[in-house]
Amino acid sequence: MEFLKDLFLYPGFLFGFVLGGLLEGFKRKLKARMQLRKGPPVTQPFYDLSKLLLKNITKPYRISSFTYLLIPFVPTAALLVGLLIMPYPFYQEKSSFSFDLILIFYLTELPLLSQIIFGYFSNSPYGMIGAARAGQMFFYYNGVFIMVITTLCLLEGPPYSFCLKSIAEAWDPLDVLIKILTIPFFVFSVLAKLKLNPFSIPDAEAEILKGPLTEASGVALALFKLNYLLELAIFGSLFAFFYLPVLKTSPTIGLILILLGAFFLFFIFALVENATARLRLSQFSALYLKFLIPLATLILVITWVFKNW
Amino acid sequence: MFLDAIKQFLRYSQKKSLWVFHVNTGSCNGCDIEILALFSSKYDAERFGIKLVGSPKHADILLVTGPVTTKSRDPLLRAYDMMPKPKAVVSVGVCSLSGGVFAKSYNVLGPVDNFIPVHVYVGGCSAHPNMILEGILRAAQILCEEEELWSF
Amino acid sequence: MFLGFSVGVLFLGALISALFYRINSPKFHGSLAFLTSAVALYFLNLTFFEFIKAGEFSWHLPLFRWIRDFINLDLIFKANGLNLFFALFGAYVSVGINLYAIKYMTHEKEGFGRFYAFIQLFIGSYLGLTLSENLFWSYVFFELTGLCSYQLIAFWYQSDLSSFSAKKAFLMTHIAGYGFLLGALVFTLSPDPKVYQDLILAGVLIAVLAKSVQWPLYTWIPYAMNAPTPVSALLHAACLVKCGVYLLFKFYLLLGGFPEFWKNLLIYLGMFSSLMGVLFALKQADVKKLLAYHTVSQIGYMVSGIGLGTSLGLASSLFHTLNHALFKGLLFLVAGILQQATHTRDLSLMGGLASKLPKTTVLYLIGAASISGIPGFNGFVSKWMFYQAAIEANHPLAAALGLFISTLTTLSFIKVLDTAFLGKLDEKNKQLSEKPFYLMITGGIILAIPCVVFGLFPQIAITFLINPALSLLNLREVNISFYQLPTVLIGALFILFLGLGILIYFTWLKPKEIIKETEVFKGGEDEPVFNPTADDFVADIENRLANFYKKADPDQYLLKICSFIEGLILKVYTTVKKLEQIWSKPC
Repeated sequence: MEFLKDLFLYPGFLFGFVLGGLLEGFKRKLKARMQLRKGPPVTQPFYDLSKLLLKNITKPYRISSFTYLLIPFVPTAALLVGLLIMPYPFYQEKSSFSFDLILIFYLTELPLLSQIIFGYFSNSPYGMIGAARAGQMFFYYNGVFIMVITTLCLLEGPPYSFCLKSIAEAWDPLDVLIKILTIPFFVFSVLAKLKLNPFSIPDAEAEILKGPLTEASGVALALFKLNYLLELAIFGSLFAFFYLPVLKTSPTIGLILILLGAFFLFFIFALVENATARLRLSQFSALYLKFLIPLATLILVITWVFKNW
Repeated sequence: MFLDAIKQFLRYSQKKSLWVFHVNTGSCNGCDIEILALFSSKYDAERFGIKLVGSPKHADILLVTGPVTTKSRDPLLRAYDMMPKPKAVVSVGVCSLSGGVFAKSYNVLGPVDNFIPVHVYVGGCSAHPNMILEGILRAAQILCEEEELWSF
Repeated sequence: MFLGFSVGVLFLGALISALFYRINSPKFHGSLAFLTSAVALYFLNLTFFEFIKAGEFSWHLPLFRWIRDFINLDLIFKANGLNLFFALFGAYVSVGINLYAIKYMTHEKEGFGRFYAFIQLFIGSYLGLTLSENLFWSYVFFELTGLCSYQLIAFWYQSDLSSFSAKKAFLMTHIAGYGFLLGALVFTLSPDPKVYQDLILAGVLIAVLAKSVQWPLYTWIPYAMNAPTPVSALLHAACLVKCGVYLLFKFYLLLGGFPEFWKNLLIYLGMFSSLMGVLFALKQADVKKLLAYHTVSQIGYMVSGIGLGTSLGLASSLFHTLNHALFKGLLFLVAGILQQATHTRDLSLMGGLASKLPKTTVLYLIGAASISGIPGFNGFVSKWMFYQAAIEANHPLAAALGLFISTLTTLSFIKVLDTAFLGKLDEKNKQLSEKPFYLMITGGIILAIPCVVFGLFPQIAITFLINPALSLLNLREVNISFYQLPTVLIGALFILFLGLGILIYFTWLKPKEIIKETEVFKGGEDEPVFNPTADDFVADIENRLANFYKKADPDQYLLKICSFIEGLILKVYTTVKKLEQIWSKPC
């Protein structure tokens, strides 16, 4: 019973869904206000999602309809597990694994992988191009993201471990400096992970429609949207865990800090999205391979040297 | 009681989230530009939850501009076929109503409602963005009243 | 006693196959090989239970007693944690692959006796190498595996490419033999091996580089893919390439640990060759070559794990060795089915096969999920142990590289899944049926079951197979109790959600008939303008790294070194010849 409550209410489904939806709505509203528009209501993502549940499905010929729905469904389960293993306030006693960060990393890869598979599965030419683009981006931004999380893991210790809790609890002056250094890299890699504007290459609306999701409709599209919202919630709270003293304060303030951090991250995202245009894939790869990956590796090495000195 | 509330919310969200797919069946691009103006800062259709989508498989409402030509008939029928139910069609501009100045041209087959059922007609050459907006919202009303929704 | 039987029965089988080579029946030779390997596995299992009950024991066969004062040539098979671990998974994988080969080889016309004789000889000598305690016999078995590899790669010896590949593989794995010989000689002849351990380790390292396909001596393995697929699966994925890893463990045991310098070298060498392997794998369009480069990259994890030197590091290395044998063997079997079904190895000529070969697709998905480390499959467990060990041992760069390589592995297997199994079905594959491949699929299932079982319950493998080996190496036993909860939780959740989803699908979505079939949206065109193939999947990465690919291929540098040595020898030879002419001139 307790477990079902965790799964469906607080750190699980409802919390992730509501937080993700509000973050998306907040970002859309903010973007509209920055362009001097009124913008959709903050609750717009919920309307979109529930409308998709009402719609029928039109799927391409000669495709198993079971697999059509299964592909977006698997990462939903994975992301719920991802939410359950994060040490949220009021819940952290139950989630003390020493390797949660690796598990979160692997589980948050799954939504993108499902999209890449879906793009080819649906036989759509746009889907195939979008999937190939998404796959190639996956190569570059994960390099940065991995360097960032490994750097952050070096803060508390030795002994070091891939533990989100120990990162959230590391607040020495040197730690704070390193944390601040890694913020831009985190923001860049998460921008690419969430396919937001300068890096919205896989679903570039003007060229390849909706990329891998071109053939998704009805419940399948709703599940993809739900995955996206859960991802937003995970990355928003991951930002708060990394860069705000969430676990250092009382649980109530910690929860408020998580919300504040997530909304702040999406404020930055709205700014970046409004200020930039979409890059080409080759520009994107040049940016990551020539600047971001080497710099992130450099920060990792510097931190390592400092910690052993 | 609880189920009724959910049903009401789903019905309401149908009205609040309208994804629009736009097909040009041979118009002079006048209406198309007005449709683009719809999503600019001045008219801001996004405040009603209206969004242009790239794939008919995501769409609720089909916006058709221009008379149906020989070349564009099949793509129009295909796009209409691909849209999942519930769906509505809004024909925009006088050409799509009657053929307009292109009527009886050698390559024009006729107005849109000869080929697919049209729910809302928006006149004008070219149609005014405010009118198009109102047309889409009327179409939303029609979508909302449609009875055969699979979830219920 | 059973130890000797398990090796002997395979040698006997090889002899029978060789003697009755005139019986040109794939069924006869194939079932013989399957039978002998199954018997060997059974004997090994008996030994294993005896070992768990009674501890270590060994089996002596006195040989060449008259030379005993000079050198000990007794054949000694020892059953300890390490030896049995390597022997057991080798025997298990060979059973599955032999079952597969019975059907696979029916496509050939001749050479069954030769093929199965060498397959059984190979399995026998692999078991001999892993079980043997005497370094002399280890060396003999080690070279025998290389010889079998040569003969088996050259199975289609009429084709130039095959015989060239066989020669290349034989020459390069022969370097490994000299390395092992150096290490073994120094170890046995020196009074205190600790003093000369640098020399010994240099020899072993050469053996590892060449036999276990590490940078820069991995260039033979892509060529070795011109062999029949069971050979690629058994030799170049599961067993032969693990010989080097086994030697590292063996010398770790004999020397009682490695010095600091060698540890660091192993860690970064392993990670570097892993990165190289995976980058080259990414751009391959030939499915077997892609898998071959992944062998390079996965063995990098094992070498690196040994270098970490901690208990968790060595455990991750051992566990990954086992897992790699299972999932890579499985993936090769799938590649063989694809090859026989479509008569090509080129990914860009396949596509949409999932609808025609659904069971094969499921096997592929299990293998791919395991190798890319999707949580819930065995690859994730051993990779996670590696990351954890690396960062605990204060090597964060190795941990980060390991994670990065893992994402690249995922990408390249997604590429295979998308371009071979999904996408557009080719016209010529429309008539394909899965029926003829059922026996081959059964062989794959034998390898697929442990992938899932060890992924969900890794503690089975860890307590029974890995902890005995660790305690032999004087290391703390790995306690993975903290791993139990989340795996069970994840497994339970996935099953719960999948069950829920399937229930909703069949009770709600399907009966309502809301799913309608339409065409694919092509933007109003009749035919899509662009049909992406496997070559387009990572086109940008290939362009971006074009210079790297051109310069990083070690073959060109190896050739330069070769021609340099050749020039030197030629110079010496010409001078000697000239001097000879001067002297032999009548005065």
